[in-house]
Amino acid sequence: MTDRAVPRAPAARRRGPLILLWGLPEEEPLAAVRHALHAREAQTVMVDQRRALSTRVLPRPEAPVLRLPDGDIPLAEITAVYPRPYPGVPAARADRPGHLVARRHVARLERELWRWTATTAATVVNRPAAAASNSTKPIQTRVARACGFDVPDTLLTNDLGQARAFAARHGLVIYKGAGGTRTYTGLLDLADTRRLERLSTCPTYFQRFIAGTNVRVHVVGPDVFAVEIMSDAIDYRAAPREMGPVSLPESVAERCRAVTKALDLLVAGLDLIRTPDGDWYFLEANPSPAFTFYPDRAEVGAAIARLLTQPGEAG
Amino acid sequence: MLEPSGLSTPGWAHDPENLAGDRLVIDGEVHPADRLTAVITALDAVQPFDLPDVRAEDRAFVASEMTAFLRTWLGTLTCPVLDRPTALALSGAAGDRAVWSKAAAALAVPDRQAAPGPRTRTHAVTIAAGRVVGPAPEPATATALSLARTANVTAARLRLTDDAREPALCEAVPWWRAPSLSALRVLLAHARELS
Repeated sequence: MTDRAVPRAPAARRRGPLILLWGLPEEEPLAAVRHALHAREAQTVMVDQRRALSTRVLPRPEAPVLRLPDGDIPLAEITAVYPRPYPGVPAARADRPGHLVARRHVARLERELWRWTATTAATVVNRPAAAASNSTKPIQTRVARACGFDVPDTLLTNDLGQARAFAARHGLVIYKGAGGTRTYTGLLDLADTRRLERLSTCPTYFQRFIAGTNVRVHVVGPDVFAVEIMSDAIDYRAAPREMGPVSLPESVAERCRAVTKALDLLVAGLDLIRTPDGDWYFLEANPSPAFTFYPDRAEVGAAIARLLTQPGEAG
Repeated sequence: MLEPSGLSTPGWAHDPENLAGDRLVIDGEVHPADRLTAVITALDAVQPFDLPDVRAEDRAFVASEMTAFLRTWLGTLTCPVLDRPTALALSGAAGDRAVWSKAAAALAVPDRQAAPGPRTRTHAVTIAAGRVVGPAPEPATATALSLARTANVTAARLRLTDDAREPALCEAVPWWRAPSLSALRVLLAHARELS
């Protein structure tokens, strides 16, 4: 266990990388990176969301200080950050007395930490402005096209006539969330009138269905890891049949690095489709990938730990 | 005038790769998107409370999807957009502390956004299209103008310390957080000039 019991006297602190982890300690990707960091004997500081009520960022004219339940740490000492906070954590549950005060405290803590991660000189995987690209997937596809990927024909509409015309042009069409909320991809069913009646509520993200094999790529600094996923489902997360490592053509790996860099990310999970003709389509990029879902989790976790402890690896 | 609930009127269409067919709906009428000559935004994100007519259980998701739609649509419009959306805010970088910190560092303006310090007298300065809107003393106005120019922000409301030599930046927010008809008039005139 090398989470740092924070000594108040600066002289008692070890030199070297000091990595701030932020989220729920048992959450799999966070736990995997923490494990990999400890294997590298790196010091870590955990901002546990469940203990948010006893955590504060103290503004100081010279540099802000992070007050944790077991001690203070000047944020200037942090060399890298791996933020994975979850929305709506138990620290401010609505069924507890005083939850409004607690919620304000948690919101303030999160706001201060995000603001700090936006400006700190430490390595941040990933900075909030870059991570926010996840909240607008059509922008990601534009970036991917500029980096040389094929992208499926796309339409955002709340108009049934437009959706019907798009489907008539392209045959099978999928729909999915364009924003940051986690959604599953589905097939547009023009016979489902009950759902289609609600299309006018807001513009919906439609894409031509691309038949082929799903490939998940994790880009970690200069490293690229790829996994092929066999699935009969439209969204492979719902029913992955088989997953295994796959070697990417170097030109595709280079495009993956280019997309990640263009989105200003240090780590990304890219979803691609390889068609039977050998074309590579970009679907979307996840700036906070749940890489532990995939069989190469140990390698990806180790690469993230390496990136956090050796920022020069970011390339 | 487009409010978030306007995105629930059928007729909207946007193809990020081919803008020629894009359609928008204003006051219930469908128009080609290229009829717009300029856009002024006064919204950072659509919030669930902006959508009282949407089913309560869907509001948060619909707000997030509408924000995503507006971000990509505003980002691709060929007419002037004051200001273009960033990944964090639909109305641009005016409320982005990191952007102002970078501008302050480039101009050697003390940055106290993270730690405003003990109570000191400050001045609020509203900048719109390279002009100061409303009364504000020097040197705070000159510093605010320089910061806005360096940050590449068209309109914002900055709070600077009352320091005769070296005003420090304490806060920056979008201009519409403290609504000003004068600022809106300046922006409308600026939008007309640009278009």
